[in-house]
Amino acid sequence: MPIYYLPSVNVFPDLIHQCCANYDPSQRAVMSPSGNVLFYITPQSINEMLQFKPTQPLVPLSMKQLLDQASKLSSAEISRIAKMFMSPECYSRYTLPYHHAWFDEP
Amino acid sequence: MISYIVGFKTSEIVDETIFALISMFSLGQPTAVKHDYATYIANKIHEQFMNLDRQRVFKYTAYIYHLLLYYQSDSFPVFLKKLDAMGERKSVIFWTLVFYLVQESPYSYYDFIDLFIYPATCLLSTTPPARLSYDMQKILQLSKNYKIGDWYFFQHHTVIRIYGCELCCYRLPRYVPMRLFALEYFRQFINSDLTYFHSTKKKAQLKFKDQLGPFVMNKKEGWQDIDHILSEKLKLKRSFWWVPYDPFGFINARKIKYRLSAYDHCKIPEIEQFSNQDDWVEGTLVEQFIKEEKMEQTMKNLEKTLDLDSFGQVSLKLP
Repeated sequence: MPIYYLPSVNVFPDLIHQCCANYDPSQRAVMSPSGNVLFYITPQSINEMLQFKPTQPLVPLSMKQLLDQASKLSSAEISRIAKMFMSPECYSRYTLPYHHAWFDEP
Repeated sequence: MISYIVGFKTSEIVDETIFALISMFSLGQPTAVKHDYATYIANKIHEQFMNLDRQRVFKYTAYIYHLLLYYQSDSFPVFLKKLDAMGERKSVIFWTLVFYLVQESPYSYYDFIDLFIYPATCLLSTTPPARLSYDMQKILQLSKNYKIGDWYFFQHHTVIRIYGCELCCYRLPRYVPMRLFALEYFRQFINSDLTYFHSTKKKAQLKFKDQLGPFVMNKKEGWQDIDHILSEKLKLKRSFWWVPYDPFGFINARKIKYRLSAYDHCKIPEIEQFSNQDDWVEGTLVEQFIKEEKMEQTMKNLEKTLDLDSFGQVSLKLP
């Protein structure tokens, strides 16, 4: 997964709007005004630029599947995952002013 | 905040992929299931492009930059380190630092605009954009009788000077995007107005645009916020201090009309003669650097050619 987290960049929305205006959804590509493909926005083009070559079949990622899996996790497992990823400086020294269950809405 | 807790430093808006990471990734242990993130991201970018007007926030800016750089690399006048020591092609994130938010980067915001944004804009436009667009020129000089400022094209940067501004102008990039122009316009115009007219309870000197480019100016004190953005966040350098600046006597005439003291322009003919040109011409305005600035520039140019593998510029902080 970290390979797909690209470093922070200077944000310049005007360029994104220009790319959007030149986007051809049928080709999934951003085009030049003369009709040449500047770059494709496809899994292949993304993997190529990141030099990622999958060595095993990949499973489609969907929110539904993730939510299903998350709903099956025990609270101990959720705690373990949270500790694994939470930086020590982010641990709260105080009792939180809300209860976790408040956010466990269906 | 979630991004920070998870330990990744990124400017992208956190979305479902973060939760995917939390749910599926076990540090140091191979996961049983490997997901197809590339397809997920490609589809998300497609969705965002199809609904950008409605969504208004684009979450995959970094992907667009990297795709442009990778597939149109010849269009960018940047030193690119594409191969590793073994001659193998490296991931595009190791090619250059030109658009990254990195501490102590050899690339400045000027470089980001002139070496990346400008060439990218050229690729997406029918004609190369002007250094200062026609709209910006008209804002500064609507007609012979209605001018509020001048522009100066130096070899490697651009300066705009609003009449009556008491501040040091910022050196803008060679190619001036509207968002930078708008900030500098607001900053200088408000300063001029506050200094000579607002404080004496006179009408504003000239008509003030309160919305320009992506910005709306709704309070006079805003110029200080702008100054902070330009100097601290974007780290733009200042041009030389040139005060009083009023080459056509517009401020002077206005002050006299309001029975205020005269405003005498400080003449620098060797520079003034090159104001408001269509483009930079050899033999005209060139930056004068002091010895320290030249040294700094030489060091930065050297850094740009170093192997980026040693920089650790990818700010991924795993727990």
